[in-house]
Amino acid sequence: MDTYAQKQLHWQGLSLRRGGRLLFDRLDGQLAAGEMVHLTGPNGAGKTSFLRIVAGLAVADAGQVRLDDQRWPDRETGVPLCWLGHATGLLPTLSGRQNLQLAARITALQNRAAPDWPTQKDDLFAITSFIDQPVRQLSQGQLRRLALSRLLLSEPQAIWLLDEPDTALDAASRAALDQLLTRHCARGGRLIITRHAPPADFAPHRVLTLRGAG
Amino acid sequence: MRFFLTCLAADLRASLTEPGDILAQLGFFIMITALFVLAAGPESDRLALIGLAGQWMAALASMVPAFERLYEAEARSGWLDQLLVSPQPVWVFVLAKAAGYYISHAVPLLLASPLMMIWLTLPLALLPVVLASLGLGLAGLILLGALGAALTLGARRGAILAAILVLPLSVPLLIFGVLAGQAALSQAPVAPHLQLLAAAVLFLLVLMPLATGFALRTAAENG
Repeated sequence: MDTYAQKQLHWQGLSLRRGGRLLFDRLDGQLAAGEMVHLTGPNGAGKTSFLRIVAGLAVADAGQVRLDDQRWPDRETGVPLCWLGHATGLLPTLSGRQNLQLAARITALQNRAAPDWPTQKDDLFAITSFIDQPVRQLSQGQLRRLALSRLLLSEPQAIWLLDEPDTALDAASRAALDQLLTRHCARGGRLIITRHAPPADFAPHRVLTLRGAG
Repeated sequence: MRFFLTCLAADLRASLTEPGDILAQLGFFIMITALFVLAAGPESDRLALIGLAGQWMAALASMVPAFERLYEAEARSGWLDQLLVSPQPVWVFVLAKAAGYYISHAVPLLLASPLMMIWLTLPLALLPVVLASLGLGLAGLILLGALGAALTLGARRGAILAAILVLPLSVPLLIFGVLAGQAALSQAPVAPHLQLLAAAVLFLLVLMPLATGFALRTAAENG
């Protein structure tokens, strides 16, 4: 499990067509440990599609993503991956706590989701006041905060793929998110993020721009 | 195993939070049986013979329309994506979902079936055979429905598509199930029919979760 920290995630010749339109063509790049990449580009440039391909949720028309010389994503090797897309991934009929416990089970990190989690110290997104309510009663911003709290359960060196995580967030939570992202990369975690309106002090290590060929 | 139980518990909790679906389906089942009794007429010797078939038709008709919504909450909330990027095997989730659906949707039908048997003038001595055949048949039907729901996930008119996919495949279940009941009615041996039915369900139990897991992954890739 320690070995993946030295390995490079890289993609070669990624091409994707949607509805006859070429979104990106022979894209090459890599993501090293501790690196924070801001994925930018106009609407419809294929940012979400790119992230879904890296997450293994979609298949590119050509090219591949690899971890050094290994197939990626390979769920058996246990390289931790956190994906947060437009949908929050929270089941509406369960409470926030039940959802987080379920999420922890899925990623096999039960130890972090003790019944009293998050404690005051861990509660970066201030979710304790509504954590026991059914998720369908919550506002968009509260949902987003619960979804982001899943990142707190992540392993330190995981690969995070976040698609517009700021959506519907209030200022305090945005600040908390920035703090979390910086801490994650400082610990050797990796991050590819899309954000339409990044805060002024947002300092990614690299910007990857999809121009949108259409 | 632990993951299976976690998924099962989450599914049952979700079903209990919104029992409307289950009640509507049970009501539909009872209604179709009642209409069947009215349509077939009151002569009880004829009714008993075709009553078995009627009970199966009512069970199929009440189960199939709901299959479309099997993964709806998981897919729309993005939970399915979370599962697909996780190291957990998707087929375990599929199996847990089918088991949860059996408990929440098939067991109420089984519990209501003695009442339906009285309406259909079937002798209550047949109850064990009816419960066994219907219980097995519904398990097979749900496994088929799980695949149908996964294949039509995100499709427009998914309910109709899923029904068209599932109903033809459910024919063996229907035939063996009704034959078992008819054999019991004419005091012939029941076991061969039930064994064939059980074999069909076992076959589905092995094959469907894997196929369904694959279908769910494909649905995400195209979504």
